[in-house]
Amino acid sequence: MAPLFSILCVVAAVSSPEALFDEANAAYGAGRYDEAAALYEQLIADGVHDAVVFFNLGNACFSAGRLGPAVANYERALRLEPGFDRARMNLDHALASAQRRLAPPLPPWWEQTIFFWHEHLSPQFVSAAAALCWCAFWALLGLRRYRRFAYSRLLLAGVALAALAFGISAWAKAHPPAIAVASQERVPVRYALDDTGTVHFELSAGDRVRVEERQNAWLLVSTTDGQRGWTEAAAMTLVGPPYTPAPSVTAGTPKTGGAE
Amino acid sequence: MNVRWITAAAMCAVALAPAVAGEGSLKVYATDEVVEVGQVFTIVVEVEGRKIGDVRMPQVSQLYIEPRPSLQRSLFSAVLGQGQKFTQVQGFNARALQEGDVTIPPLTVEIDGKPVSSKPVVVRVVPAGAEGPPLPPAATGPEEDNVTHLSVEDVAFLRTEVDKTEVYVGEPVSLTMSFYRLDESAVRVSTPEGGIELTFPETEGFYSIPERPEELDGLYAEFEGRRYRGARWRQTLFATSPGDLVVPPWEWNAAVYAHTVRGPVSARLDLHADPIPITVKPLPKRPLKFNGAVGQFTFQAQVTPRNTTQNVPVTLIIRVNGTGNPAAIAEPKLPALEGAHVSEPERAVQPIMDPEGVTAETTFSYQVTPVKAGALAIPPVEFCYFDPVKEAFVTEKSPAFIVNVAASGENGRRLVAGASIAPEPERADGAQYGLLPIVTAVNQLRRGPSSRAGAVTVLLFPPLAYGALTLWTARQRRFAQDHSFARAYRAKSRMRKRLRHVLDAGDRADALYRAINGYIADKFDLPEAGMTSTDVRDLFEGRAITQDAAARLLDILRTCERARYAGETLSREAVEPLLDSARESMEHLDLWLRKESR
Repeated sequence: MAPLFSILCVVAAVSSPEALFDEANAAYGAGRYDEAAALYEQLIADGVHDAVVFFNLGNACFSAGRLGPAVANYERALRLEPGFDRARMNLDHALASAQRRLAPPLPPWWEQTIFFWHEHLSPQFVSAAAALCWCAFWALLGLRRYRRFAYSRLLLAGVALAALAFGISAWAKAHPPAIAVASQERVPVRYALDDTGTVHFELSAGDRVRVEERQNAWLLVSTTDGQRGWTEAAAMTLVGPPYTPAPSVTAGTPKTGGAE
Repeated sequence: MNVRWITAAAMCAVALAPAVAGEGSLKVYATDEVVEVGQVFTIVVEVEGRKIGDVRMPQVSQLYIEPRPSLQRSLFSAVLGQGQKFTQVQGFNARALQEGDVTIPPLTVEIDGKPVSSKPVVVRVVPAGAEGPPLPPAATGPEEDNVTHLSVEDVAFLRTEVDKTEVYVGEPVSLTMSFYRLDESAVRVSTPEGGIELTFPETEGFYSIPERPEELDGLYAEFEGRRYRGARWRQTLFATSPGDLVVPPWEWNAAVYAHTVRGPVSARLDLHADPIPITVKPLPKRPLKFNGAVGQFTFQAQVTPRNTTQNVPVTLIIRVNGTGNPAAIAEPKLPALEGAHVSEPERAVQPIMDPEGVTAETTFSYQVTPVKAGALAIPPVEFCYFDPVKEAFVTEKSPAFIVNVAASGENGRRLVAGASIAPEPERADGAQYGLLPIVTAVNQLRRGPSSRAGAVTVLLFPPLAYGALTLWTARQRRFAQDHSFARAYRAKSRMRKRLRHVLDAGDRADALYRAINGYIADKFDLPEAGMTSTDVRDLFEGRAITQDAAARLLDILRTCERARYAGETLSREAVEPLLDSARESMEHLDLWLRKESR
């Protein structure tokens, strides 16, 4: 009975997210970047959606010479923690080694104009703020049934507005525009949904494009300057959510040593 | 211009009318004394009189004169003592057919019952200039019937044409769209809202250059003896996938406005050009080096300068010129260069629309930075495209270039950044420098987003709680304000409480009597004191309560009354069945009253 219990404890310890995270970090420290990346991806598949995991996975991919997935994972980390400066700096660093600096897709106009303020707020923060304002609104409304106080209407309107703004912001953060990153050195984008179709333009590893539509194994992508066309989904890493593993093909940057 | 001119003439004629009021007059002249062959001008006829006959233009061999006036103005003027006068100005469009002096013979019109002749008009016709508008061959003059019996459909029409209907994927197809309208100044064609904004057919399945059809020079054409003025647009289409595609029908809803002898008329006109089916064939098996370009191209490469210093770049320019979709031309692949860095090419496209279709010059400029001194060999660059005329893939090859690189003394230091076709380890190290390390210290890893159920709970709980609070408050207020409601609501619980103490009471009959009486008084909001079984019976009868439970309660009340009035004390054993019966009857009655909402 005791040996069985010990084995169970060991299995539980090894498969716990923190243990897996430490194991991945150790693999990265030892220069086994592909193994580290696989372990980080395992963590993500297990439901751990932490900006740090995506950041580390980005480093592992970059060090393993996979520029596209590295860019995608830095983007994921920044979506979860917009104030994660390390991720922003490594993203800039990764993009500096990209062959072409294609402008990233912009958020929708209403987000740029009305919701400019939520750019640096994390999804958790805006969700919590929305929930708090929502509860506060109803609590104030209930309080008003018992006791009227000065400026109660103004306060109610303010709290309702804040709840609405944070609610929309939380929704926008939970449903970000679909963005994909080119994961191969050259990714042809075609006019038609057919691998024999004419090539419209090419993406380089690390190029970020907006995904307008998905049909089977094809993505209809568009660049910020308005070019659009179909490309194979296997050549792209979707930033998500959902967080799908990056395709395990080709290299965008050379395989090099990591930094820890 | 003619309209304004004729109107001005009519006004002048009216202004001068009083001076010549005594007799009718006829004046004929041309708007231009010198015209080019093919030029259209107007012969103006001014007639003044009280009664004016028909004006018939004579035919002249060197001119084509329209038999009907393109514009007509009529004005009345009153002359003191002589009644009204009528001034008619008509403009007849004419076109010069041969050069030389042309004499339009005198025109005779019956005015006030007398024939009046005009003076002959001389027009000099000179050869057509180089920039004159294109004209159809000289016409012999249309039959008068054609003009007289003009149908609405003859006023304007659309045409779409393509240069080929069977093409390969990516092969250019020249689409020409023409809009013809009758060349008559008195006829106007526009949209029902005004203006002449045409909407072009959507060419789905094609990549189009330019995105919106380009307007070409206008032209004149003659169809069935009528002269038309045409506007043309052109677009080059490139099929993006094989199969059967269609250039859809071109449709335009228009309105026609015409000034006729009988006055202005208007009509609706639905213009339509037929769809054009196009068969798109797939390209044959492609070689690996196929660039993606389909069309006919020329390929040139050059390197400047041929002598440079170490780390100072030279420019390799590759030009691809020809008909075909410039966007489909991928960057030519450069072979790996030993001892040099090659940047990503800068691409420039200059599309040129010429009469043959789209011709574009696509330029790729590569910055080649030698890092070693000596002779740098740039091997030939290949460009493989598909020629739809030859129906084969064609490979063009640039010559090899040698660049002489002098030593600079700064080994290893790059002056030009850029991607390398063959990256070297130094560059990789440089790229890695500055990458911030991974994060290893984390208190707790965050799981995925909270569940949907949690979000729904947060969303729904506050309003539900608020609703519950509101209901509870309203209930409390009613209890406080509505005494009968409060009594009825609490009657059952009070009776239960009272019944629990019946067995322990000194006078059990009295206690049971009071409990039942109290329930009935609470339920119907009546004063409990002095209520007898007779009152209760009357109450039940008055409210039509005929339940067995009510009858049983009444019986219990009577039993208790008898015991009270007889001064008996009911034994515990005698009261217990009464108590059970009272409880059961009260439950039934309460349930029934609730159901009946009493």
